[in-house]
Amino acid sequence: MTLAVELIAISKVYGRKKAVDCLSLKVPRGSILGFLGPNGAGKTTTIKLMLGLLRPDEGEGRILGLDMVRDTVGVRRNIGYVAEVQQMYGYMTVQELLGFCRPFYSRWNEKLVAGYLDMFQLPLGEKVKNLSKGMKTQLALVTALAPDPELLILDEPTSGLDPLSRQEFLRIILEEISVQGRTVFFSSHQLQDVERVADHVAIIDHGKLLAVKPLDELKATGKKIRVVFQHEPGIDFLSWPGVREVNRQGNAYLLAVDNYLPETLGRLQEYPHFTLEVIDQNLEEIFLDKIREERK
Amino acid sequence: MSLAVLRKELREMRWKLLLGTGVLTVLAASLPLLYEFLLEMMRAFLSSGDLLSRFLPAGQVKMLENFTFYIWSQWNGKNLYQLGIVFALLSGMGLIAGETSSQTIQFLLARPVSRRKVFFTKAAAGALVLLLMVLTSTAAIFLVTRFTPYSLEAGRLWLATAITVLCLLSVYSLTLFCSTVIDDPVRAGGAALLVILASSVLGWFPATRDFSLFAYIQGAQYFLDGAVPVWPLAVITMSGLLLLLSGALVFERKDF
Repeated sequence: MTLAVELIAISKVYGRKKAVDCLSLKVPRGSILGFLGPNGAGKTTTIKLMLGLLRPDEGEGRILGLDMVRDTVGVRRNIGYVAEVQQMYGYMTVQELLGFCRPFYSRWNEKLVAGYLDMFQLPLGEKVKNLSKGMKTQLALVTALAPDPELLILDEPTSGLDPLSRQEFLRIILEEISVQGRTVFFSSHQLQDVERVADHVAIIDHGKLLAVKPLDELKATGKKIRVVFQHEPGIDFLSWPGVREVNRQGNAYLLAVDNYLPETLGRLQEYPHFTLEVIDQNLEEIFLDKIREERK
Repeated sequence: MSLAVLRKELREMRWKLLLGTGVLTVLAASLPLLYEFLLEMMRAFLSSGDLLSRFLPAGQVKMLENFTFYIWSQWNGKNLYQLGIVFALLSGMGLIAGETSSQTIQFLLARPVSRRKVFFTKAAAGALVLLLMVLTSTAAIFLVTRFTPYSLEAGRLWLATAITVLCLLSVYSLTLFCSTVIDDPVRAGGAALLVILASSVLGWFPATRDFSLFAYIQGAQYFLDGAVPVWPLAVITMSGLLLLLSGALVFERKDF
């Protein structure tokens, strides 16, 4: 497996606060990674470290095989970046901004630019400061895609977009970018967006990586079992392998199970019960569980 | 040097360039035109026996009869260095801090261009703007003088101007350094101004006068005594370069 991103124990400290705490992360080439975390979790800091806008206090990383600290220019040559807040030169027109960006890259796909400009109906002569938030995001996406980057980093790209713009943005990620074999690093706290486009998910909170797995695997492992016993069984479920959380209401139990699902079901069936069912969790529930668990 | 960044910087500074060049050129062009009027006024004061004439040394009037001396005293000795400092501050204060405070620096630094290149291109753009202001306005003096019966000692005035420019560039380097360290352009300009004011205070006392930038910025030693203050100018130039390099180092390591 070749890696697009490999972060090894990177940390970034602001005063006393560890914004990123010994974070290690591997992103396979060609994958779409949803980078999830609540506000202030360290998502943007991690992205800025990858781009060389910040320097790590500890650790190292390789982006597309290049050292992210020593070869930041080489790294950025192959990266397209859409920031959370589009702070571009407002006095420039759309055309001037594209003209400003073009000389920095040896590859600049004019055909692709023309295609997206047409698709988004971006007014070339309009000043950037007069564009709506959605249009600014679309323009940022065009500048990010124009150099044909191997890795596309999107930092909360859909926040603040209206539902229509959001759907269109996600459609482009899914139907146009991912099929070209590009790696997408998609930071968001819009879990339904990530669930729609990502094939891998990483969850971060307080700068620490809580989980990183293929989305299917994460959803397969993060299941809950609801069981209503006929009598109080008097079992310490937390001592069972794979059971990480137990919620009880009378004789009804809700067990959060990581792995060992068939084994746990088998053992539960030995006890007299009225109901025994497996509840699939969506990404939001898995995410919230992980965060709550971390904060306990 | 990044041409894309240079073009952007020059575009962003075009109003400063126009304002600075305009103000300095109007002032510079008025100097040869006002010469005769000023000379007559001074002579009138001296002959009137007015109280004011006691404060006007006869020797100074004699010196002002030399047109080149008059131009130097009004240009390098007053307008150019005073307004030059203002425009050096204006040129340097927003170069880094302006982009940091507006967060456009992140958009710029996300491009595949080294920070060193960005810094020195920005530094060059600001210096170019300052030089254009000074050179255009000084050239205006020579141009307007052609329409008067007087002649200028071009070499002396240009050399004195070169000394003034050297000092102004060190003020600009200081401002650029402040702009790199402080993320707000107004505060960066204010910090640089404070340092310059502190340097002017040194100039008030004979014991510390030689340590003040203002002892050299007019090019007086050269113009009046014919001696270029080589060592002080070397120290001023080195200080400017050190500030520039320090700014580059800070910029390269700074988190944005």
